Amino acid sequence: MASNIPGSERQGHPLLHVQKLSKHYVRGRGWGKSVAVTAVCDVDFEIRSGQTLALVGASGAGKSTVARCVARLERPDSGEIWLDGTDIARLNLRDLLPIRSNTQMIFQDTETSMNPRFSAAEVIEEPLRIQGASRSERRDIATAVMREVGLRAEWLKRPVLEFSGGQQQRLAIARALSTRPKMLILDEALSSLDLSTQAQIANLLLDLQSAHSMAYLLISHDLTLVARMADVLSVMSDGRIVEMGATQQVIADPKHVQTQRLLASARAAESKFDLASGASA
Amino acid sequence: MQTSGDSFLQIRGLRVTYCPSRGDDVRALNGIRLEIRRSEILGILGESGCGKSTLAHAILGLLPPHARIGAGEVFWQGRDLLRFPESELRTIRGRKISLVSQQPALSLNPVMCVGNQVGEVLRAHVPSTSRERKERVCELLREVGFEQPTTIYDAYPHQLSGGQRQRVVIAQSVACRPALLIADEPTSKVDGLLRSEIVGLLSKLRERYGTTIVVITHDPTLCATFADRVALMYAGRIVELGNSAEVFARPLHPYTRALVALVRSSTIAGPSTREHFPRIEGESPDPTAVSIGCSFEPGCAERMEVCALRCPEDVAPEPTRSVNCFKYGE
Amino acid sequence: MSYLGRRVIRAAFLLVGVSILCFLFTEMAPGSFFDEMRLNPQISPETISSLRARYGLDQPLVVRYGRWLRSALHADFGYSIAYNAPVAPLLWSRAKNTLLLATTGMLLTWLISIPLGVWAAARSGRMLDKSVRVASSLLVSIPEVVIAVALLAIVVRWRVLPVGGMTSMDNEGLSQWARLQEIASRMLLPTIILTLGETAIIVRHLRASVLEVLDTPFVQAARGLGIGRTRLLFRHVLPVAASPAISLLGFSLAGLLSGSLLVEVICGWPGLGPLILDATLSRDFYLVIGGIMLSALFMVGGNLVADIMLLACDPRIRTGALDAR
Repeated sequence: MASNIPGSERQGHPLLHVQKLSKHYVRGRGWGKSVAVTAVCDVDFEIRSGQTLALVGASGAGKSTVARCVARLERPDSGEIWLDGTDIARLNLRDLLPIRSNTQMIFQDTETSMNPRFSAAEVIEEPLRIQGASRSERRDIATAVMREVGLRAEWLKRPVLEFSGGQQQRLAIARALSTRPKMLILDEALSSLDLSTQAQIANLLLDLQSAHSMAYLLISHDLTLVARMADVLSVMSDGRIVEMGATQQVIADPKHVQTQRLLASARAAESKFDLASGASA
Repeated sequence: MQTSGDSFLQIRGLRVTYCPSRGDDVRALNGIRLEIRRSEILGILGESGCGKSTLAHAILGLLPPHARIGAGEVFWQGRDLLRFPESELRTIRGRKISLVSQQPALSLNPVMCVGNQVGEVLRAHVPSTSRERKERVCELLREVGFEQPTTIYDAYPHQLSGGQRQRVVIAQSVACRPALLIADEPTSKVDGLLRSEIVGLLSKLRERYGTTIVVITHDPTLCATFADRVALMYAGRIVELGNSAEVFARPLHPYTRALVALVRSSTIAGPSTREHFPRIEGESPDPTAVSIGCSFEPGCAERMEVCALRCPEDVAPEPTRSVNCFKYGE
Repeated sequence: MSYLGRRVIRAAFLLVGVSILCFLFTEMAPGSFFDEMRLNPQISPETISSLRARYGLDQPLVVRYGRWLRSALHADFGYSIAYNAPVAPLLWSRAKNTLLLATTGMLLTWLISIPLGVWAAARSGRMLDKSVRVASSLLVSIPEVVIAVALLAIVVRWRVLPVGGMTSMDNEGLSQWARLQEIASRMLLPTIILTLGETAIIVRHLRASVLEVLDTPFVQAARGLGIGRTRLLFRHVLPVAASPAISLLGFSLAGLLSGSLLVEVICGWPGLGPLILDATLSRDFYLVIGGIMLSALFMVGGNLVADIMLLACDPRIRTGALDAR
């Protein structure tokens, strides 16, 4: 599959290989039996370094669960997650620590993923602190990544709540970059931003990806974003992957009904704008 | 798209500033003049930080304690809402004017079942028995699209998906059939399929009950397809106002033009993988800075000398439209 | 294994652990019951050693523990040397009085703290809030002993209430109602002392919790929907703010039971406190162990009650939503 992805000459070895990933949640009562709810079932995919794979699907399809399992924020019930040659699915937290810096996650909501009272410096340096970097190292890296994401280094002292929504998301990206990860997981990271900010951050992410050869696992419901950013498109429905392939190909020729529905409604929205607004001046 | 109706709510010269105890004052609204017509769907379009949420909260007296209303009136049924005492505002909120806020996940009480939460709104405004309320809540839940209202009634917010929570919040806000519904970013965090459901739901409300709907959003497509009129906000001012079809077909203000260009280039087919997005130049304006001239001037592609010296006034180049820009007159 | 099941098993292990430590510490404390007797020249050493054998005190510690544990499982907690009676009924008769005092104290505490805490938070910064904060700070910083003795002095000086014991000397002839009145009047002082101390702590916590919840988006949303102020505070905010306070309830109940020792001794209330104090001072081995185990049982029980209440109040725990892996 990798060989007929456009631009695969840019991409390297397989970085992430997920096999038969499954996870269910238990919904229980205090007294009595618990009920299992399947969130993700038998998910398989692969991402190479420098490549972007997008997971799309209706809400509740299991995309976030997959992301959280790959980031090991949750423990998968079965399956394997091979990250750079190590199966991280079964590792305990202590063994996971040195590997954590290879994967970083960026969340949708900056209000809840960052402590608003922390200064920008504290937020960015936190992963470094966990990994045991020295103070001067931390400061140097923080300054460097601030510039990389387009923020001024003088703003390192400002508390997070003084930044705008788009700037906060840049901070989140800076925080993720500080450990020089090989893979970024973007869980609806651009969804709560307005259009122009989305465009800016998307461009930033594209630039960073080519600069550092990072792999991206992109979770989004926005197909226009996915069309520009992803090499591989993976459609999820009810916890399973129902279609997967090169983005342009899937868009041009969707085979599964779920994919067709998603594309149809996105196109309908697009054409509605043109329809509603007539031809441009 | 026809707009019907006489004037329902008039906002004149509204200025709101946030004065936090630490840090600089933030000018959120810089003189808003807006008229909302009965039974219309009005879109308020702008990026984050432009003051759209502040406007919604100001109308209902829900601004935080550190916000100061510098000037302005909000006329509704002949009286100024800004001068209403809290006790009277409470009878209006949820009953005559409702606000659906952002982030439905956080707008619901985590330890109360959602049916009771909808019921609480009824209880606050309509004298009724507990059984009557329960029936009405199930009706409402069915109206917003739940097929099994009795099961959903007993569910807790954390057991529902994001889209379901959004629908519960909408059910809460329409429980008492308010005349005006203000929806703050109703579709920003949902996927396309759910988005059209929510839009359909709101349209249905307007059709069936004549509810006036104000949609606050940063999504131009939503405004184009759903709203009758659209007001574009930038840095606390309304920079353009008119019928949405006209505004998007022939945008007048440079900000609107840049936005429309961005939307037209965001398509699924067309761009190749890794192609960058076109951008609107310039950072978002710093809301703590006092600008003498037009706030959009630094990033404006069509700026003139006068733009940095004075603030433009609203002009009406066509009868149904208004623009806040020197290009169309003084 | 259900949530509660796990808690109960953990509680059982806790109690066993406490019993072992109990035995160890009591044994390590210098002296024994018979020390005074030994000093008495009229009692022969043989009498003493035979007494010791009778009460099994000459056996090694491990054996004693084993036997105690076995009988404990049959609800037999040994024999008190001083009272020459089995420990269990002795403890129980006193425990009833302590429970009466403690539960009344707790009920009063919560009846006062809940409205006070909620309104203080709702009117944060104003008169009510300020006076609540000052009063609770004062009460928390003054040692309970001082408060108890001060109130005792006032009550005795001005003969406001009868003090000492639970009933008066000649209460057989009194009617049921008069007897209840008597008990109530003698219970008033110790209850007030207990309540004052506990309320001061609980009010502060509740106020802080409510203040936090008042800032959350869902309370703002409810306000935006026109929900009235009182209803908002007590029906919407309190259930959420109560969760951290309910954990306090467990401590509070447990603390009242074991902490009422001081108050009981000072006011002369015939509860567990004076009994255990005397037993400890005279090294009445099994009575001490029994008393401490009972205290531990109350503590564990108090926490279990709190757990059950949390389960009932917070649906997120009920449905396992908070079980992060």
